[in-house]
This record gives sequence, structure tokens and C-alpha cells, in this order.
Amino acid sequence: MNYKILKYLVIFFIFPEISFSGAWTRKGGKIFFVPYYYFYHAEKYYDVNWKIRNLDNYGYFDSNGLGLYFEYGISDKLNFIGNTAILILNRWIDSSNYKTNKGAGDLEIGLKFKVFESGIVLSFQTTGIIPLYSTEREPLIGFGQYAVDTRILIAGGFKPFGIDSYFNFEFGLRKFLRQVADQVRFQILYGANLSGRWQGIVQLDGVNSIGTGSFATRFNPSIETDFVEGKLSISFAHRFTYKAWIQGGFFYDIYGKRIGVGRGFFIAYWIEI
Amino acid sequence: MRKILTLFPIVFILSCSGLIYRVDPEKIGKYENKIQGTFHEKLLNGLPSRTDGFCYAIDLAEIMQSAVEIGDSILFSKAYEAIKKHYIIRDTWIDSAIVWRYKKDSEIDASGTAETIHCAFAIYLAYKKWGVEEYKKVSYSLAKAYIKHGYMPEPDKFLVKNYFNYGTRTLSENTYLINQRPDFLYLIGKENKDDDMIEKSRMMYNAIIGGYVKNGFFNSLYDIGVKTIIPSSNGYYSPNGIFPLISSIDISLSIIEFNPKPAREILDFFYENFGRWSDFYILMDGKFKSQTKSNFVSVAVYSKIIELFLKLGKPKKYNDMIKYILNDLLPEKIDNIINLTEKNSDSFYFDLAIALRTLHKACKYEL
Repeated sequence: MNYKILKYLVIFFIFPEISFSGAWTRKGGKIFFVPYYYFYHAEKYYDVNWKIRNLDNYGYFDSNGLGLYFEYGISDKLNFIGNTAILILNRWIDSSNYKTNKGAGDLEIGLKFKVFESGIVLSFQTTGIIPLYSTEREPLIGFGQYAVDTRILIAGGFKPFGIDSYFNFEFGLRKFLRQVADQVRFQILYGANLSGRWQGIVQLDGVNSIGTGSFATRFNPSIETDFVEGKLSISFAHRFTYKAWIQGGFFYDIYGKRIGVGRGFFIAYWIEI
Repeated sequence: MRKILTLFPIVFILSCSGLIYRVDPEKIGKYENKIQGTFHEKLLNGLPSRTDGFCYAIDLAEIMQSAVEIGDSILFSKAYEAIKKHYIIRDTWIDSAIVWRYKKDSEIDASGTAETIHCAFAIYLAYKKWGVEEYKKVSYSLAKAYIKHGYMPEPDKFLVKNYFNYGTRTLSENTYLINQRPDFLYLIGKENKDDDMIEKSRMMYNAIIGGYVKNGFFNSLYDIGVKTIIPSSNGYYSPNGIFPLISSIDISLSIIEFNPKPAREILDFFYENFGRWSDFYILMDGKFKSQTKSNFVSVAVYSKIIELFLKLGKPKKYNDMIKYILNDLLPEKIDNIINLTEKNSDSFYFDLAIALRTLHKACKYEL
């Protein structure tokens, strides 16, 4: 199995909070940067019965975001990780409203610790989420709430039909300080090393809210107080130089409840120094 | 927004630029010390043996050469004394050749030409460095024994067979091109003012270049018998159509002073095929293709690619690749080998010895 490829793996959890993860850790002293861009669009939403409906007043919402994810190897097993959207541009348009908002997103920082590695990698990760924006203007940039995210990550390599492949499973809990219902989050990812310079990645990211919250917004369908969402994404990554890859892909919310039917694309650079 | 949009092209350009390809001399020095320490520790406890209990002469030859190049006379002496005591075979026909492997109470079966010439060269380097006359004599006698394994397959061509069997008193059937070292032979011949040895090195080059295919790759073997099966053949071939990368790199290094073209071409091939690196290649539809989709090669290949780069005068085109190999890939591979220990890796001493002198040279030439 080509473990070097695995080390470059970057996993997206696209919108509302972008995070990059994976059970693998950077070696001590290594820095990993991932500047990224995404475009998100929704004109429909999943109702409480999991059915797709038009947004209120035939509205639609889109969001452009630029961000930066990084990892720093404190040691081979312990990484300092961080992620923030440097700029988000949100727009809501319906039959009677035209609203725009911009600002930085959430700052997410924390630690990832590799507990075990022998064919399979097992890690734990915990991050704190700090909102860097105000919630006075719609469409909201995010929940505007402090939160803590803890997750277990399992990854490994395998070779189905002779194809060098890898997987990553994540399961965790995001606990908000107030207003927003806590969320169980998971990820199931399969990646294939198509050649030394190309990877194909398919992943499903899910969010299941636990209980109910009191948070409310009318103009950003990608954030809800309590919801269920399953986002499927397909992407390709190309290694264009020794230390850097470029990744591009599409995503679509394949199921949901009380959440927008989001779709869009993203581009990212992965650079290890 | 405009400022932020510039972030992407800046990062993109940065990732392609030489700014992020750096070599940390401290890190390289640390790995050099780590390998050197490992060798001292292993040789203190006896011969550096492989999993089958034999100590292979090629491992000792590589350790000796590296010891000289890093200036470690104690390490050199340990390996040299072992060679003198157990490996140099007195014989009525081929005198002073090196037996290919040794284990206590095991019968001596055959010499090894690669082993003999690599030992000769390492001891020659020791003479050049420390001026000990004994080293000069020993290296010269080994080089002469090496030539004794040779024959002329065609006029103006000279090749050495793989080994001499002390039981059957015959030379091997096979002639591997990797066992031909005209470069070492030339230097030892020149040192000893041996015109015949120098002439043999020239003829050896003539024989080697006949096996050149393209892109820096050479056929592995020469066997005149192939002509009886394939009349159009020139006698050079690679078993199962497989071309080991290390073999072609080594061969191109061995003739670099005679003809640098194959060395340039194999370095360029390695550069152009990033993402498809493999220890073995096959020739398909006129192109060399990796046999496996690993994108990784052995420590010896990484080390010798760096050596090629240095010997070709550090061409700028390959700077980033070499720095990436030296600072990122090679240390990681060394860690893997050391953690495996020699019990699990037959190439433990061989790989690490080559890596040791590569790291040293990299620091010396300020890569």
C-alpha cells in the first residue's frame, strides 16, 4: 500500500463548517497547508418528512468561501490542527429580499493524536470552534456559537481488485455552548490511487442533530438549529509537483431533513513543507 | 477580496518554486550519525550477517567504501580485517578473489566478481585517503583477480563472468552487466601503471555500451548463447523483459567517465516519470513503464540518483527533485530500514552503507 499517498490525504467536510481531517498525522516538524475555495448553492430544502421542497418565496442561496486549513507536527503522533474560512460571501435572493453578507467564518483549532498505527491508523481529535463574525446581519455566516468537536478517526489501506486504495471513517460529537442542538457527525471515505499522480476520492459526510435547539435563521438554508444531512462528494486530486497536490470536486446533499439541498464544487491545494 | 484572491496564485507558485525545497543539514547529519552508529554497534558484535547467517562480501565492500568516504578509519578497519581474514581466497588459478559470502564452518563455494571489484575499489580509496601501502597492494591484487574472471566475447570487448566455482573449477555461465566496473578498474590500473588493466577497462566499456537500450536503461545480461536461439540478437537481454532500475543506474554510473549520455538519460527519465517510480520497469510498445504502481523505490536507488546528480555537475533542472529526495524521502526510508532491523531486511547493510556516503556527500557538496 502506498502510504505516502495516504499522508497527503485531505478530507473535506464541506459547509457549513469546513474541516479537513483524516486519521493520519504529519511527522514532527512538518507543516501542511491547504488553502481552499468552495461554492455552495441551494434553491430547495429537505422538509421534516425528508421531501424536497422549494425554499420560501422561491428563494435561493449561494455562498463563496476562501479558507485555510493547516496541520503542524508537534511530534510524529501529535498534530496541532486549525481551520478557518478567511472570507465568506453569502447571498440570499427571493421574490421580496436581496441580502448579502460577508465576513470571516469559524476558527477551528485543536489537536489530533495518533494512538495506534499498524496497517490501520487510529486517532483521536478534539477541536474548539470560535465564531469570528457577528450574527447581526443576514444571511448568517454560521451559527455564531462556540462549540467543541471530538471525534475518533480510523483509516487504513487496502487493495480491492488490485487498486491501491485507502479509507477513512470518522465518528464524533459536536457540542454547542447554547442554542444549537448538538450534532453527531460521521464520515465514510474511499480513496483510490489511480496513478502516482492522481487520486480519486468518494466520501459521505453526515450530520445528525440530537434533540432540538432554539437557533433560527430564514436566509441561510445550510445552517439549521437541528437537522439531518448527508453530503456526497466526488473529487480528484492531482500531484503537480513533489510537495503539492491540487484537488477539485463536486458535492451534493443526497438526503436530509430540515436542511437545504446544497450542491457545489471546491478547489484546494495541499502543500507540505 | 482581491487581496485574498491573490492568495491562491501565490500559494500555487510557491508550491512549484524552489523556495519550499530545502535541505536541512542538521537533519542529514543526524541520519549520517545514526547509520554510522548502527554500523559500529553491529561490527563490534561480530560480522554483519543477513537472515541466512552469512555475511555477504558486498555488504562489507559497501561499508568499507562509505567508511573511507566519511573518514571513519575505525569502521573501515573492522570491515577490512574481516575481508582479509575470511574472504580473500588463495587459489592456483584465480588468486586473491573475494568469496561472495562467508559463515563459520560453511564451505567456500564461489568467488564473486562484483564483490571482488567493489572491495578492491574501497581499499583503493582507503589507500588514497590514508596512504597505507598495504591497501594499495591488496586492492591491486583483487583487481587482478577480477580480471582473471574475464573473457573477450568479441574483438575489442572484455567482460567478466559472475563468479568462479571453487568446486567445479569453472567460471559461471552468466555475465551480468552490473558486475562490470570499468571505472574502478581504470582508477586502480592507473594508480599501478598497469596499461593492460587500463586497456581492459576501455574494452569493458565497449562491451557494456552494447547492452544499452534507451532512456538510460541497459539490458541486464550478456550471453552469446542467446544468438543460437535468436540469430538477430546481439547477445544482450533482460530476463523476463524486466529492467531493474538500480541495475541501469549502477551501469550508467560505471561508465560515466567514458560516456555520460546514459547517466543523463536515466536521471532525466527518473525526473520525467515522477509519480510512476518503480524499482522495476518493463519495455512495452517502445516505452519503459513501471512494473508496479508504487511510486517508491529503494534506498539504494534514491541514493544513487543523488550520486548521478552530483557526478553530472548538479544540473539545475533536477535541483528540486534531488532536495525533495534527500530531505524527505531518503530519511523516511532510512527510518523504515533501521526500525525493521537487519533480521528482516536482506539489504539492511547494503542500503544503509550506500545511503551513508550519499548523505555525507550531500552535506559536503552543500545540496
